[in-house]
Amino acid sequence: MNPGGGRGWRRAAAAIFFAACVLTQLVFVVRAYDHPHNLFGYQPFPQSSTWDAQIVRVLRDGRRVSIRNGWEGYRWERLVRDRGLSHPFVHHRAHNGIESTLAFLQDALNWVALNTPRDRETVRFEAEVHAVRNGHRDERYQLVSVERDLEDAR
Amino acid sequence: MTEQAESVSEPARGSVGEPEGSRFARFFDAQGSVRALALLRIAVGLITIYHLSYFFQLATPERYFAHGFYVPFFESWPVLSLDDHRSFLVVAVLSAGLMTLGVFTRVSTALTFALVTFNIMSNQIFFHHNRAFLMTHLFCLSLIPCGRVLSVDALVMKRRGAPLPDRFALWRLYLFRALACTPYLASGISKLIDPDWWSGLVMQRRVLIHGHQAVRHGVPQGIIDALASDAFSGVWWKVVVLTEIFIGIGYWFKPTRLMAAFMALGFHFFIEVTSVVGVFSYLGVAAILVWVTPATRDRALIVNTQTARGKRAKSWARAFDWLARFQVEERHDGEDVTLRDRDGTEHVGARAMHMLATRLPLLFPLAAPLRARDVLRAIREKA
Repeated sequence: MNPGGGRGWRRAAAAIFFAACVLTQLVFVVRAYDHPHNLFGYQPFPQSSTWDAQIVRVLRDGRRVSIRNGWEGYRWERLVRDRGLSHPFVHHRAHNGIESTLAFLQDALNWVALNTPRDRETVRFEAEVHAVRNGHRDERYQLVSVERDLEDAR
Repeated sequence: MTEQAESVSEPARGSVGEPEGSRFARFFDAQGSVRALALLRIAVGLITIYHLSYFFQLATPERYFAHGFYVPFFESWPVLSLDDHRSFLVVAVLSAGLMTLGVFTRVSTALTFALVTFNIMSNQIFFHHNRAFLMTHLFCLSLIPCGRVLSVDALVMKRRGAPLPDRFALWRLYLFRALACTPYLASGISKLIDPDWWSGLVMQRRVLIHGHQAVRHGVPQGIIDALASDAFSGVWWKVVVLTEIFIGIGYWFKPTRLMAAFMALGFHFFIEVTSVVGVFSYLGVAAILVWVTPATRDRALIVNTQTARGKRAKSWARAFDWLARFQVEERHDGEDVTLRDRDGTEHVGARAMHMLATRLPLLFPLAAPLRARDVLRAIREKA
């Protein structure tokens, strides 16, 4: 039996655990430079960019109807309540930067498309986003939700 | 064994009980006092309850996250019904309460970490940096036997005649330190290399966008105009970025540690009054305890109880020495107050009082400028 050996293993295990934790944190910090929500990367207040969006329903017959006044008993601001996404029609500050807002808005379009069963007309949702990055220049983005399965909705 | 001998400090200082062997072995074998982290456990437990109270506000049919748009971190992550979520929050608060009191501390701390993490991982929208910082604190505390002092567990074991040792493996503290300084360095460096941040543009625009809200709350328009000016933004936000980086680096070195801690206090106060940052400021202030040297009773406070100052020093130490830094000795003659530091240096009178106050957590914010003045004076005298 070698008591010193047991201690050596404990040290090695501690060293591996220590290195793994520090390395994981470092990976998150570096990854944050290329991740919309910079998770665990500690980059608070990354921008003072602003944005607004026009969101429309694309109907079966090809018409494009704004969701501003609600549809089929749904209202956007009741379905999507967080991260400054509830009032996309008003030009306002992008929480955690433009990239984060665009990523969440894309997720929100998909979520709304999949979670509004009373709506049997909408094929997909589209958003025309107008953003101003730190006051420099106008940027435009087009976001499209997943296609809705209207046969299933029926 | 005396309390002084039990408390071993950092291996680099060559103090009592330093382990032998290679640098690697010393790093992982060194032991120290867990007292400061026990105090941090209490603070983080209370902060966690405050953090959870926000989720209670959201636990209504209209506001529950799963009743609207949300983004789970993982597709298969279980989503609780509203009733189950409420019960979950009650359990989480109870667990944080037990952690704060130090009841089954290892289990309650680990459970609190698991429950807080589960809740945040339910929805990417819940993710904010201050909550990540809270998870880091709970994770690190769950690795450390921080219930060995200042806890119900310690009290019970003491009554049973088997007091818990207040020692633990210091590498866990170093891991905590590495993770605790990350927000300052990561944030500071990302802003340093971002031209819009470094020039002050990002925050200048923030003031312009939100200035009207501050005016509505009574802040004079003139102050908002000054804050939004090019001259102010061009200088002030550089100072803020450099302060963040200084805190992240300054904590690591003994000569700058106290200054870094004091700047962290000012930094967090500034953030708290100007922004909405959840529990970040509270955690940042509490986390100063991570940088306390893990040793107890390593300084002597010699008080002449016949003098008013001596009595005051004794009462301060008795009431506020939560970190057990001082061995108090009473005398009936000589200097009113003498403070003998770890290295044998003695401070007397007002300087001893200033030094004493900087080592008492509650008085530190007020005493740090006085101590800084003493240090500057001492440097001038030497010169």
